[in-house]
Amino acid sequence: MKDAEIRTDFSRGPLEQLKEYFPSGLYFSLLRSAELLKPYERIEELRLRANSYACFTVGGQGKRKNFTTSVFFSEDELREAFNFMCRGSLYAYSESIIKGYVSLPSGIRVGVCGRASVEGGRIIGVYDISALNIRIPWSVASLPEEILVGIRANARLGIGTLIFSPPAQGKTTCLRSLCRFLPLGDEAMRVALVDTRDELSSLCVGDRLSLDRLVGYPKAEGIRIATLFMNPEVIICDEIGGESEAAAILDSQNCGVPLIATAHAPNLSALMRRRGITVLHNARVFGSYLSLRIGEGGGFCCSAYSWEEADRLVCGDRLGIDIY
Amino acid sequence: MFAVIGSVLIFISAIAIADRLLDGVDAYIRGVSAVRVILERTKVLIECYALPADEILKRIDASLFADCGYAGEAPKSFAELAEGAKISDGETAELFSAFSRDFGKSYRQDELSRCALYLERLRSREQKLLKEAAKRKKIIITLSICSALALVILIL
Repeated sequence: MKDAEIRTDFSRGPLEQLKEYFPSGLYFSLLRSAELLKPYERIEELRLRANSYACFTVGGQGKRKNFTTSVFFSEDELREAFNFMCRGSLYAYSESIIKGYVSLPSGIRVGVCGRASVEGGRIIGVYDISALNIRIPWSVASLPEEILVGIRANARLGIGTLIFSPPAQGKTTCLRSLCRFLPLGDEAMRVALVDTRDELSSLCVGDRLSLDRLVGYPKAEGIRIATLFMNPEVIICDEIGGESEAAAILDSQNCGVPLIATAHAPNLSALMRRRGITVLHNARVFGSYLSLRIGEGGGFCCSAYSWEEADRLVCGDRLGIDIY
Repeated sequence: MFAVIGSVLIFISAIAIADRLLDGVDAYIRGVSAVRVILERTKVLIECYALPADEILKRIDASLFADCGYAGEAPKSFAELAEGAKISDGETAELFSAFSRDFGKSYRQDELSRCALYLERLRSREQKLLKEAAKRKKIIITLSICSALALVILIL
């Protein structure tokens, strides 16, 4: 019974958020396919390809595997589902489609690929959508309070934090926790959230949150506007890393407002090998680094590094201290 | 005495009938104008903000939907609006349902071009109907007065 409850929370519940995007027959077929999963397995991704069977990526007990369902999606059905995901307004999502994704309400991100039209080396449009990868959010425990308090203490001292982990290890979930923790309570801070992909703000609601949301802004531009006009005590943004993006962030983020951001990297050494991150590290945009990992029990495992530790690690010494 | 009262009543009836008929003509044109204004607003909101359809429809004055003969809650998509609307002019109704059917399936520039194309067609249709309406109004007024006069003469 307990397993069933867990499964309802972790896999069937999130699938229900997708109900409105599929013709009902296909949706119920997907639900039936989800019944075939083992109780401890949770659906992390749903992949739809034109003229192919839908596929789940499932995780659990520290393993991930692909599970092909018996639900067939024709080209028209995929196009119809995609049209629903774009709220029947493809033009409104053209920028994000060109970048490879669409954000659904409730923070679900859908990876999109098809045939690209390129002009001068730049993608100007994507048509004949052939595959969608729907990343299904699943419940993980919130960040430990000590970590949240530590990040807030650092932010009060003007120290930014970079949270890193491999994909699907809870970075965005962690930022959501921070968006609800930092701007709330007696020690609430004025927080500006630069939500380029519209993944965070829709879930961070509350009439007592001291949170300014800049949704859809390019990161550097959002950070610049937040810094100049919203007077935040801390800025939060998701997934940085590109070199040009880092340079732009550096340009706009030089007036002492601490930045809390996330980046993809399996470990600190790999993180520091990313040129964009190195630029930000050398400019001391971040004073602390937090490595995240989802433990087998579903909670977060974190390792924290100071700027100096990270800097030494860049030179080859590993000095990470496991906290949880 | 009765003849005078009868004549007055005939004239009042003729005016009332003419008024109803003129209202009908105005309503006919209002439906076409409302569709044109909805499309104009849609084009501006796509041009300025690239808003999705449901957000555009939220920002359009509800009285325009009523002018299109749409009753009920605010529509969430153009297809829903086109389906629920009762536009008297068949050609306009067809144009609007063709616009709604393919709305939102292309990128911004393409969508704006479609809006411009349909707007042009709607404007020329509206102009044509306005000219026809002016003629029709004259006919209604003339016929009402003449009929009333004829009846009065017959009575007297």
